[in-house]
Amino acid sequence: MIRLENVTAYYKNLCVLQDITVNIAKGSIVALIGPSGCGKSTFLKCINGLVPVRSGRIFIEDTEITSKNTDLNRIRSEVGIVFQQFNLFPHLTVKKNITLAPVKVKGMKLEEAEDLAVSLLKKVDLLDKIDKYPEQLSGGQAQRVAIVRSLAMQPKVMLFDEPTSALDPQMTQEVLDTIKSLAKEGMTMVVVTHEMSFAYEVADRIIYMDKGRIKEGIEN
Amino acid sequence: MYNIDIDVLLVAWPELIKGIKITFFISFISSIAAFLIGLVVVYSRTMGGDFSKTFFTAFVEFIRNTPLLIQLYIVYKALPEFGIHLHPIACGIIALSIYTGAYISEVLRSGVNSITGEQYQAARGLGLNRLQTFRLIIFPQAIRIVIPPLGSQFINLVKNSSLVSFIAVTDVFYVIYKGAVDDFRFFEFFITGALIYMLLTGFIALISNSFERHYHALGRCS
Repeated sequence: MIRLENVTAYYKNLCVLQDITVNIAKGSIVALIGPSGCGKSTFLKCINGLVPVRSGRIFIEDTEITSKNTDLNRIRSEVGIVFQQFNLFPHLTVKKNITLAPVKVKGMKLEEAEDLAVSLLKKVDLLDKIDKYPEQLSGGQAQRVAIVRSLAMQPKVMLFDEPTSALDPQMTQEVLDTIKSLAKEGMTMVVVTHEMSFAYEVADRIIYMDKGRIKEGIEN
Repeated sequence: MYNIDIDVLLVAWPELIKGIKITFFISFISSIAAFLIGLVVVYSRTMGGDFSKTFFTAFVEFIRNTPLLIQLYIVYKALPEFGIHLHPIACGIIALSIYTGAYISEVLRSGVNSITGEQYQAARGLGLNRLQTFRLIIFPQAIRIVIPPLGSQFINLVKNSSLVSFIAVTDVFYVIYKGAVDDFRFFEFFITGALIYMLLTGFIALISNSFERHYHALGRCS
């Protein structure tokens, strides 16, 4: 599903990923752990082209996303990403946050996208927030909306960049439950996390990174 | 004791109205054009490639570091040397639009820069292209923050439009100045002129304030 071959990435002159080779199977859940600044987030952002790689190749299914001819916008629409700080669009309602990309990128009809938003919000138990603005949500609610926003694009892969680091323990649980239910549905996921118990419980595979390299990969 | 003579104003009133119309017309068209120029410049400087960044940075620096009066004369007097003859009002509109557009682009840029890179990443991560990201995510948030300084730019434009009287446009400043020197009634004409400009710009301040309230009601700014 996702294949990285000898990927190296730099941030300015700093090498943040060194010679990473990983193969992630369809439907598998990979947890990425490691100290701050070890390149976990960069790893994720390379997978959907938000960070360019210096060398090496990345494939999603059979499409090489590191090739110049690849339409990155199309790849990104198939690879959902959820951030630590939620990054909801503060000037748009929850409904608009969710329907924007399906309508503008995939050309979905507005009513269709709204139906999808309603059914996805029901799943995470936030239907009553549909007309609220992001600032009116708690952190856990905002993160679940952010997950729904990505899911509305019907992605093949979901990437999570420390989805619970900005949340208190109770809200963390809400968000982890949402991710677990996605796992049950067979979504391919890569999760950067500090929640070790969650990693052990949910992940098929745990990759430990340090200083831009993969130190250890454990089958769980 | 100075005797205020209202009659001279009444006599000049039809001319003043004509002048106000011209000032209003020039300001109105220039405001729209300046805003569009500002948009193109800020998009190119924040989302464009290296070439357009350099080009538009140089453009903004050239425009805001030279006097508007010189720019007006370049359009009015220098362009005809190259066979481009334009009506003085058109010259005024072109120079005012470019001049104010450069300033507006700087105001907009400060707003765009205040929106975090994370918003950009979230938008691109969903598959929106650069233009969509700018139009739907970055710009709507940026504009809310910069409404007050943006309003000031439009107010400046109206006041700066008085310089077109130097290139033979009979705008309201021209009428006031002519009235004042013809009749030796400086106080009456210049006070009236100040009030006329205040009315024109006060209108912009009202619009700007109502936009600010409108957006304040709709979610926070970033």
